[in-house]
Amino acid sequence: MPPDPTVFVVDDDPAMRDSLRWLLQSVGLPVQTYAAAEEFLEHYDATWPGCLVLDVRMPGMSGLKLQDVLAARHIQLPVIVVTGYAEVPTAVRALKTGAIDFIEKPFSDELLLDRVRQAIEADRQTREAEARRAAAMERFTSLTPREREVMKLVTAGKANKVIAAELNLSPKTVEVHRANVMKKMEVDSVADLVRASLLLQSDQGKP
Amino acid sequence: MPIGQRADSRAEVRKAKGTLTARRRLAAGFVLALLIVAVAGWISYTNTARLLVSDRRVRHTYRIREHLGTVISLLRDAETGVRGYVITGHEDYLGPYNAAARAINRNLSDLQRLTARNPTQQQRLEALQPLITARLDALKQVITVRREKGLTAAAETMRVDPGRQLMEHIRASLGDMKNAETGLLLRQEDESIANTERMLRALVLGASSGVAILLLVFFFLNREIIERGRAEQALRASEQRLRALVEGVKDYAIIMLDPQGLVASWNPGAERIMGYTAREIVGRHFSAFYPRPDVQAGKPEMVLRAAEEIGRFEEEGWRMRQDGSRFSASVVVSALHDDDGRLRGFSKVTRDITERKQAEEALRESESRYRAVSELTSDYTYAFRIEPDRGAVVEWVAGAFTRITGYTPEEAEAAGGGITIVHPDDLPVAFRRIQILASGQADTSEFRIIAKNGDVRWVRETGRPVWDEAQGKLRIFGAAQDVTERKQAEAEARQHQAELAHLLRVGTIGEMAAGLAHEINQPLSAIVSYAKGCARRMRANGEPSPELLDAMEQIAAQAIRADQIVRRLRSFVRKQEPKRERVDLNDLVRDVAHLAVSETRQRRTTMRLDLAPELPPIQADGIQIEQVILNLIRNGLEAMHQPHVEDAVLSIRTALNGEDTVEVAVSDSGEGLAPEHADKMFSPFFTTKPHGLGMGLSISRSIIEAHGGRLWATPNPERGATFRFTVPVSGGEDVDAA
Repeated sequence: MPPDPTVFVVDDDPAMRDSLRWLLQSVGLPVQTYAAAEEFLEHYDATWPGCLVLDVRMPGMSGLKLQDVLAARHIQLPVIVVTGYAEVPTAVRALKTGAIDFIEKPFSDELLLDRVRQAIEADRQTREAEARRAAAMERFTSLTPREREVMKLVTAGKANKVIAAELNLSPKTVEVHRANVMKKMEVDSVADLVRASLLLQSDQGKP
Repeated sequence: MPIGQRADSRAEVRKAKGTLTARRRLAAGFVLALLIVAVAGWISYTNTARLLVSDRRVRHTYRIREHLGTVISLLRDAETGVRGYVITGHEDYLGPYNAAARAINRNLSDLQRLTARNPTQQQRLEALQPLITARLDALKQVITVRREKGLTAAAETMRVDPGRQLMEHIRASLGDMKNAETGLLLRQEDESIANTERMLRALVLGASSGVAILLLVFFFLNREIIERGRAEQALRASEQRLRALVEGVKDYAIIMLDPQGLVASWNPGAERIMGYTAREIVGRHFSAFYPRPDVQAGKPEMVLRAAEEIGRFEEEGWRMRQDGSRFSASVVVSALHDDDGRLRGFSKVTRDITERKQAEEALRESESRYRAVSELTSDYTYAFRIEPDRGAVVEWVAGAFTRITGYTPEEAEAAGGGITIVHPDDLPVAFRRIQILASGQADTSEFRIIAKNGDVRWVRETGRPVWDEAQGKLRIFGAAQDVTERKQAEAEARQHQAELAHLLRVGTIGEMAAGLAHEINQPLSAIVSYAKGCARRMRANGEPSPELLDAMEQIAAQAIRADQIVRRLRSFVRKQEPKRERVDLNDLVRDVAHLAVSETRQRRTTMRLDLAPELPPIQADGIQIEQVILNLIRNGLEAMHQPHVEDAVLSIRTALNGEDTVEVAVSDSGEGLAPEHADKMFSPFFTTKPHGLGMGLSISRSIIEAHGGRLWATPNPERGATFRFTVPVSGGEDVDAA
């Protein structure tokens, strides 16, 4: 049972941390605050959904550096960068490193809450897609090598006869394999099977 | 040593002269003594001879007197015999008569012979002879009478005897003769006595004066012998001393040559300088010391001839050691003559002057180099000496003194010397300089002078006092340079520095505003969030108090307003848009290093530049980057500004990092970084200095970050710290567009 989506606040200024918690909790959002990037990295579990509100200027590991570390660890938690006075180069770098948003302090509560909600939503979607992909992957791994070959050719849009000819099988056997693939992949149509295979292909660089 | 030798030889000459006269005196004494003895001998001889003659004469006289006596006694014997015969008639008594008659004749003939050379006595003898004959005849007659006539007749004959008278005559004549002989004898004796006395006198005189002279000669001889002994002893001692000296001399080869130039003596100095041992060289010709070409040119013989003719030959030239190596030698060859002026040989004193030659050469070289350099580096040079009564006396001035000051050296001297043209404000410097120089220390000072046309010019004068041993005076050599242009350039540089400092201050205010804004921004943001959070909760809990809700909104609104005021202040200070132009980082570093030179010198720090040969240009605001470099340099200097930091070295390096960034690294050898400050030191208002604002590194970092670069610090492995920043090269990422 995954925890509720949470807003993780990393800011070296205690007043900023506490006031953000105060504001975010006023709309019922769970909040976790950290005084430093290192502290956050130490406690955060990648399965915990939500978003990260990050002060870009901090002693020790800066906000930008933390973004780099998260990217290196394939943690896709959405990041909202908060800064005192937005300097153009800093903002550019923050966004390039993967922040979804950049907010100047002091900010209007509406703006921040909107962005936080959007970020949580984005995170939820990412996690769902990931969950689907993981399920499809699990199903795919249950296929025999021959079934995988058949699935590959089916999703390529080839007819049973063509597949039989290519794999040097009888059309009957291809028919059987195809039925097994549809069943194991838990799909009802070739269109769904193609969608599942696309989901699998989006799996790049992930184990 | 040559002086001592001369004195010695003079003394010897004197001694030799003394010996000569003494020898003559001795010879004269001997001759005199010999003469005296000879004269005395001669006198003695002649006197003795005369004495012998007179003695013979005396004996002659005595014989004559004896013969005369004998004649008388014979006559008496004859008379007595006759008388006896007469009385007795015995023939026996006639014996004496006969003997006497015979003897008388013999005696008379003897007398005749003896007195042959005395005519008077001869006459007397001749007169005597008939008397004696007559007497004897008379006696014969008596005898005849007695025999023939008897006693009485004979007695009668005897009584009337005329013979008695004859006898008296004879007696008288003989007495005369005897008297004459006696007189002769007396004369002879007188003469003999006189002779003897003369002889004695001559002997005594001759002997005593001879003895005296011999004594004198002995005395002189003795003195001479003693003196000579003493002289010989002194000579030996002096010879020993001289030999010890010659043997002890190690820096001079002192050798003797015979007239042909063969080596006769050899000292340890010669062995040390030439390499030969005495055994190897004595007897060989001294041309062995000359290089072959000199020998072929007949130089050794020439040297000997010259020395023989002039007495002394002196030269400097190359000589050869036993191993064939050459050395520069100073040689003095002197001819040695004996008392008669015959050439006895030569003395040869050789000194190895290679080192001196080298030193002279080095000195000449350094002098000419110094002259060349001082002509190149100085506008004019001068020398003056300090005299107790007259003060500074200018000896010479060379170079462009007149071009720079407008005065001729004479005018300046007449006006009271160089001090009179020194700018009044710089007189203390000039006076202090003179004090330093007078105390014997070198000094370099820069001061202003007022030229004849009224221009103020800067000169840099280097003075070096040299104590003149010979004159007992302090001489000061000086070289002066017109540094007016450099001083102007320095003034311009200072101006530039002041402008940069101004920019820095302006930048500092901007950064302060930015830092302040950031610091204030934090609490303002918190206020806004708290207030908004409150408002939301009020609404969410239903039916909020409109006043409270409004107050909550106002709190947030006022916080935002305060933030906007700060924001405007910040943008007002930062209104200058940063410029971007292509600049060369090395140029910027050089410019800043130039500005910082005087500061590093003041702090006794060595600044080293290690610039990459070629760096791609960067797009940057040059002034801002210079500001950063200057900040880092000052930081480094301050880090080393501790009493215990020695060998303060600040090095600035530039390098190309990969392809797209250039890097500047400023390393100091100061205290290094305190770990607890590492995080904070780039924050605004953070400082470890008592009067620092804490903005420098913060500004620097924001400038560098605004240029798309990074600024950070690392501790050095040994000591100190290195501050680096990187800036992207131009043409890569376009910083302006971002």
